[in-house]
Amino acid sequence: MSASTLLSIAVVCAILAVLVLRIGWGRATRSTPVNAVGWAFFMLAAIFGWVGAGAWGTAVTALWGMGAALVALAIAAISAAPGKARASNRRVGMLPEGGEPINLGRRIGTFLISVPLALTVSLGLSVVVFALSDLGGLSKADSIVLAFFATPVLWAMVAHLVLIRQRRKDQWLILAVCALPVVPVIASGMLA
Amino acid sequence: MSIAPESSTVKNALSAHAAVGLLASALLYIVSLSGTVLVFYDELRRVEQPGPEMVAIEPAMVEKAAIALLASEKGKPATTHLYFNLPSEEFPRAIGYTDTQEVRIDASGRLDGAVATEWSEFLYALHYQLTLPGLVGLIFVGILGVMMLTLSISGVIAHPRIFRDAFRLRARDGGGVGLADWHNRLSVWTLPFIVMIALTGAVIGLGVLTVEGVAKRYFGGDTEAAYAPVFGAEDEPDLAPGPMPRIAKALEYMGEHYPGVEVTFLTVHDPLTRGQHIQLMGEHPRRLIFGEYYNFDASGNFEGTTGLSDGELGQQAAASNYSLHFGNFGGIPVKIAYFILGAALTAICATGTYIWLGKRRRRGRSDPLLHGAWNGVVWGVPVALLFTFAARLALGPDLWFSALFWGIGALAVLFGILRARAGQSAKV
Repeated sequence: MSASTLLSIAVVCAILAVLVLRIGWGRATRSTPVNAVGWAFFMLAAIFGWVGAGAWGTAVTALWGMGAALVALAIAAISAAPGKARASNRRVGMLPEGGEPINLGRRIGTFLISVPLALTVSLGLSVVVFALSDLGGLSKADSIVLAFFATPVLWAMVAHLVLIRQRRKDQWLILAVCALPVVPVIASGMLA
Repeated sequence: MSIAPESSTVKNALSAHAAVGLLASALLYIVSLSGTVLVFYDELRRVEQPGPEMVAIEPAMVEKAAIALLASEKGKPATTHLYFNLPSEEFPRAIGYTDTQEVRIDASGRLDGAVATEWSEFLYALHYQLTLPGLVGLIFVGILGVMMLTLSISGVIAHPRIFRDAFRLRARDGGGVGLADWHNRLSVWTLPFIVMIALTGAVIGLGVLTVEGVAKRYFGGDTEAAYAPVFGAEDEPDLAPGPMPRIAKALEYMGEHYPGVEVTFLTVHDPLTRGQHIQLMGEHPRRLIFGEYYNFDASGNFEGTTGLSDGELGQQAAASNYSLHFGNFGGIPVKIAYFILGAALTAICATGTYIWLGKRRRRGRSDPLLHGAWNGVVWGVPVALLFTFAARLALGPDLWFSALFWGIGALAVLFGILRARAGQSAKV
């Protein structure tokens, strides 16, 4: 089968995936088989895209899938009936309310832990990723690029874990646990 | 057993989502909007400065232009590099660069005046660095990329029904429901795009810090040595005078041996020295990589490729990062898709803060001044971009676009606050 044919199949699968999920999620009750078929079409789209034209094919297929979903959303927006549902007013605690203290010190502390400190830990972890990949036999190029991608992914995860903890002690604990793997790498560097 | 997160997890994730989103809301909005427009960087440069266009140029004409360009450098410190943007269907122009000048080149290899696309460069700097200087700006925007990643994680966890409700768009419900639905539905369906844009952007921005850390520990502090396995190493310079490099021969070699590869960029390292060498960048069709480096000596003899197209997986991934981020891997159709998805991301940034303000208002904590300021950001940034572009077309390239943009943006915020205050006074 030619690359163009495989890509066309991938695009059709991506559009079908959106269509099937639209049907599945529009039902009054959940249907595991329908949902599974929808996700399977997405999987097939990715596979056909990859086989047809590698990463480029998968990227293009993904754009088609997202495009189809936006079309479905546009139809939902146009056909939406006026309603009077009550919107959520869940409090997220960004600003003090009703005479509460501003707790500026606590807020600055959270910022320092989740931004500069979590970044420092993530940079250390990315050096660990490089070291482990290198030790594991990956090429230098693969190891460095893994480290490139590790920094933002690990920082996002560490920052999220820190931010969802209410107690300062828990935030420090998370940071300390995440920093543990960095210690031997730094120590071995000092001893070298 | 349920895989749904506990309510406390959801609540904490929502708090984390709001904290990160609000902390960087205006900057995320500016970076998203400028990135959306920047998708059409090549097209904007063509509109900004009409000029000689061609879809191809003869190798001999490129060499002729190189001779003329190097001759025009007399009296200046020797340029360390000579670059040429070679014409293609995507950007049908030839441009020559040295350390100190950018010059347009016509199809017959003649220099055709200075490049004057300052507005496009301002837009590039706005998205890439928020117009902050050098690496500081790049790292700062990289940090915003991580914030966007964090927002994606917390956004999904904070909304347990986000996939179940993925097609539920109550666009005509008032009281904040419609706004929240737009925010959540656009977020979930553009999630692959947002995660990809945030990750690739963060890698570009924070790469310098990562490589610094790796180089310090494993390459004796030599960052160039750390980059070398990925993008190739530069040879030791030999600055003794050398002849004119055989650019035409190298280009002709590519035409003969790699007819399916489109050469879009040419670099001469240390031109007119004994250590000079030529590097051509060739675009491969249906690939995400920005290109492959084809290396030649000064006499135009082929020495090999760097391996971005067929080398280590890491090299290919690194070379794909840029095209994936900027959306220049599939011509105009992909650019249009990126523009639409980028516009959706910008709308998500804008609605997030409105949702938070709306929740506070419904709890009886009205913030009209904050609301006015946010209106100023949401409307002021696109107005400032349009105004600077109109000023460029009407008044020419010699304007301080950064100052103009930030000035108009600040005025818009001030106007939003004053308008809200006037509304408050009228109510009283």
